[in-house]
Amino acid sequence: MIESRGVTRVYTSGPVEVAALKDIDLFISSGEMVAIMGPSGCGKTTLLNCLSGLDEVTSGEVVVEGTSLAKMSDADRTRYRARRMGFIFQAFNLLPVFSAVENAELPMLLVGERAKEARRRSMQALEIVGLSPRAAHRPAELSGGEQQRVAIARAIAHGPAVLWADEPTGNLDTENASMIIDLLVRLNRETGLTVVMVTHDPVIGSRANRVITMKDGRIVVPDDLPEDEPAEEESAEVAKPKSKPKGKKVSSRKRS
Amino acid sequence: MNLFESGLIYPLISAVLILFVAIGAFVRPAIFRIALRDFKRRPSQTTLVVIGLLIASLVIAGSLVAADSLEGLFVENVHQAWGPVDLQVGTLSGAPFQASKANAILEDPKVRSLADAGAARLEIRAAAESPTHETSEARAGLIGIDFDADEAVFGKFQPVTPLTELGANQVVINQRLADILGVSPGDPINFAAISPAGEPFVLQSTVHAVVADSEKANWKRQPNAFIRLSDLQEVARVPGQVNQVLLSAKGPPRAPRNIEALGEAAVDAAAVVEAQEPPPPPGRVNLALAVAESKGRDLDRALETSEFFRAVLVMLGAIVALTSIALIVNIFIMLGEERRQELGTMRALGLKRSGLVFLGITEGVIYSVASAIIGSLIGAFFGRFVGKAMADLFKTFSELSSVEFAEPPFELRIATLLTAAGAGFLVSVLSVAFVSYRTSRLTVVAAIRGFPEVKRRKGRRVPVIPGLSILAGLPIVLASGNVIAKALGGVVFVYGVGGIIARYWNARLGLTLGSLAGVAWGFWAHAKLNPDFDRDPGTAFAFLGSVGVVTVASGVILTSANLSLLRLFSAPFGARARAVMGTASGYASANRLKTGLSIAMFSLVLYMIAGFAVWGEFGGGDFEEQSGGWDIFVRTTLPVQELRAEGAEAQAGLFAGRYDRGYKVGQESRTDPIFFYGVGADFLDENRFKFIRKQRGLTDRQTWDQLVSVPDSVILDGITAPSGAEVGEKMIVITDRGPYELTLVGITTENILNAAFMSKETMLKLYPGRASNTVWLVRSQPGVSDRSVAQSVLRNHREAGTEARPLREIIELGAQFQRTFVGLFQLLLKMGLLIGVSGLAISAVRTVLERRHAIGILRALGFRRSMVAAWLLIESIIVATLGVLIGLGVGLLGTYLVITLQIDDYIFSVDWNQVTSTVLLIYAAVVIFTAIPALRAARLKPAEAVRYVE
Repeated sequence: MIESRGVTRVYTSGPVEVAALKDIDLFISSGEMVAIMGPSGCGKTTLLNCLSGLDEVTSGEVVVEGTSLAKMSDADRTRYRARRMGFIFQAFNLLPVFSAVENAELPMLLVGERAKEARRRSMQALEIVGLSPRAAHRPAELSGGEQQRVAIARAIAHGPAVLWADEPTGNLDTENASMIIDLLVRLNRETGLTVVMVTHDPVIGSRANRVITMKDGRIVVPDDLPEDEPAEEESAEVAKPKSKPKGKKVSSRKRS
Repeated sequence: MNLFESGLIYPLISAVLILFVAIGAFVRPAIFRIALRDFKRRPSQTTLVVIGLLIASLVIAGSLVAADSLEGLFVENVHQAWGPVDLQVGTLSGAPFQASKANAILEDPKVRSLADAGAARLEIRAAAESPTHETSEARAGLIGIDFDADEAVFGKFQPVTPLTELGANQVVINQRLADILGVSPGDPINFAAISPAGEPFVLQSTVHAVVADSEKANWKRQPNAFIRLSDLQEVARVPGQVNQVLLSAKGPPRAPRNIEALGEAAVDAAAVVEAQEPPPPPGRVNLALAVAESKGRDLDRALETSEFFRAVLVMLGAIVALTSIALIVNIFIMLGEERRQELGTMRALGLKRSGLVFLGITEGVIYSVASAIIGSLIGAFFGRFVGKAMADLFKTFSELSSVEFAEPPFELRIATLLTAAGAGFLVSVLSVAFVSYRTSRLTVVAAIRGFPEVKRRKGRRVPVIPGLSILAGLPIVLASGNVIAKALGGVVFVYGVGGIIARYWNARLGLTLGSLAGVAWGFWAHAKLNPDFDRDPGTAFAFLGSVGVVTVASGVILTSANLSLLRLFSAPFGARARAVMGTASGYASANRLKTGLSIAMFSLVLYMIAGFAVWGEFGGGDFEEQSGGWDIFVRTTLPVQELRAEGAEAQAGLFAGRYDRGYKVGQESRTDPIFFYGVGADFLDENRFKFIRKQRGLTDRQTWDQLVSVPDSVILDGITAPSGAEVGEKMIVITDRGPYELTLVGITTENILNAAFMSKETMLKLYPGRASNTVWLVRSQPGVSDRSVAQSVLRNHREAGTEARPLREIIELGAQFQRTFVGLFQLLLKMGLLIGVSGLAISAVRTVLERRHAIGILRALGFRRSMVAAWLLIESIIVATLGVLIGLGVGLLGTYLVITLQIDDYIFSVDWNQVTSTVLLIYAAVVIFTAIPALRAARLKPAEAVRYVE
């Protein structure tokens, strides 16, 4: 469903060039829940941004549902994101001027969905995340956990194929973090929604079907992992699920 | 209707934009909803923004309404002065001619077919005196009319007291004259005058009736007395003669009428009459009858004058609009920064770039509609105030003559309001659109995570814009005949070169060199290219408004590019002060665009205020220079052979004549009325007038003596001489015998007499009938008051219709008039300063929000509360100071260059009171508006501030 082929992302800061991603090959199947993990600055978020089309790649290619993101114009990519993807950010990123339900319906309205339908679906999404009683509240009136649940409602209300989550529990306490991850797992299992999340928390990562570990812009080989984290396979530049063993080097730890 | 000329293009484009947003709101309700919510998100900030924006509309509307009011005043004045009369037929000097000639013209079939009515008159300027009340009016109109025939042209008098048939030598006077003299029907009234034949006469008369100051009685807006034509002909010893035929074209008086055809018919009729005239006696010539389109000429002058004021007012409006643009750009950049994360999120969720631009424009439209409507409505009344104040000034100044100015009409034209609202709206929306486009180019990933914007990599592309600037700018500089295009072309060229240096070498160096060259070129253009204010005031003001602004902008860019040098100023201070100064200057230099825009807001307005502080002093005020050593100006209606002035040290009698037929100096033509003064030895011996221009090597006295030694020579004053006039050029005037050529030998610094000085011999060639002194200049003895000398002249020569006024009063009135006028312009500009101050206030409020984290860190590192407050205050003061320095520098130096180009020995003078009061006002406002947020910042608790997430 999502495939990256030789993706490299280089940032330039004055005369200095920094390669945030180096030649990444990766495949994520439909319905998977994948966690991208690794130390700070290893390129986790950059990988998520490149895969989701939020960021452009310097070289290589990202193909989502058979379409190359590089071949799309900015406007097409934007439209594609709005229709087929949902996003959750560490800082929630809700619009403070909108209520919970208005935030949830925003992506649908942006792609021209009818207001009534958008409202119905966003209320449904809030119901799923358990926040329908708080639908009329603005972000400032909600707790951190509630805000992130609104963000999840916003991400799923329009029925996306993939949910991208960048440190979804980074700003939350343990209890709320657990609630959010439960919710994501439930969505993945019950609706078959593909979830790709970036996290540095091993507990959160352990809830995913598959963990992709990164270091210095690359998906690391098992030898690079700490000794207490056993690798199941030999080095892997291409990380693919065991269920779809198309790649030659698989470095994911699939958990059920 | 021409939409561009009428200005209605602005409301039209505005309406289209509003429609576009309305459709957008329907198609993209979510974006519209976001814009609406953002509008009321921070009410105090929104209020400040709307106030800042509405000042632009307010000043634009105020300028236009004031210009309309002035135009209305000048035009109304002409209509009231001339009533239905379009044409005057008479001799150029006012000499009388046979009434039979007048009748022949009036009876001419073609004239009759084109004219509504016509009448012949004998009009003489006379001194009126009431022996009963011992009151007098030096310059009244004594008008002999055929009461029945006159009614056909002017309609009936509107009697205030019963009006029956006039007896012999009885007069009907208008209310104005009755008020001046305090007379009523039955009172004796005397008139003294020189007849059109050049003979002095006295008419002892009685007031028959007083009539209201209707158009008819208020002829030429002066105090008037009407008498039977035959009575006046007899007493003035011009039996059977008149000196003018008045013609009124068919149609309503204020509607466009076929005046040209009537004029041609009148010229033909006059030619026929002259052809039938018997040959003149030996040594005499028959005086030609000329047709003057008096009302049309005055209307043209009125429109020309109002165009001048309109040009100034529009330029002021434009400067304030530019200031407003700087404010809007600054505010929306700040808002863009504040909401960057939200905008990034919206982009991630599916909002296209165009959607972000639309969001910005929608917000801009909401802000702009509110501010444009409120601003232009308030501006209309503000304009009314300015227009009325200006009109009152004209009225005060007209005290020097007997001509009364009309009441200023309140010209509130819907078209003007729409234009002002539309222009204000467009200024706001287009600025917002520009910023929104800039904001829409944000990097989604960086915006979402609150990281700084990633710098775009320099492409390998050829620098197209700098290249085109060089290619376009150079030919314009070399080939264009338009001074504004030439000046701006030079700026485009130097920035093009700067762009190339920036592209291939170093960005800051390119910007610095480009802007430095822009400043230098701007000053050079001020000195060498500026157009003549006399010849083309509209272009001259457009030049100052455009080239001046570009020079200021270059100064701002030069400063902004090198803001890092500010740190050097903190070096001499002690450790703590250095820390504060360094932080303040560091933050000011860190955001060059924001700081530059804030500097621009002040410098643009200060530039104009400094310019006006020079123009306000130009040519006025200095008593010695203006008076030429004289203390009292005396004018008499009857000639006075020897002036009796007790307490006088010296005096000089001048032949005087008002000249209103247009003249030419070199290639320059002028139509304003001026005064010819014939001077003799008494004047040459005693006057101390100085010269702006004279023949090299001659003293002032030798130059004055040229009036006698050089045949047909003339000396003009600062008002009558066109600004580019040179010594040796020919001045051509029109006499009854045709054009006459005079040689210009000097131009005086004096500019209150509106004078062309010549010898008495030369004067007699132009005005054969003026061989007598009717103007006197008197010098008081030391210790004797000018007023007492003037009083003695009035006492001794009342019967001659005398006006005597201390020159100091006249000069002071003139200077006051100029200063007050300039003060009104400055008032408009100070409204622009409010924009700058509100901009800084908004910026200060935002700064505290944006820098909470930094404030927390600095407090944690050891900054005291007072240091935090001082830091923010000093930062604002640095911005204001840079704006003041650039504005004052360009304004003063630019104006100096412009004036010294036109006047050789100009002594640079500045109204420092105006400048210092404005600068103090700025600092006071900056301190007040910045102090509140600065103190709030100082109260922040470090721990909270460090953790702060909005």
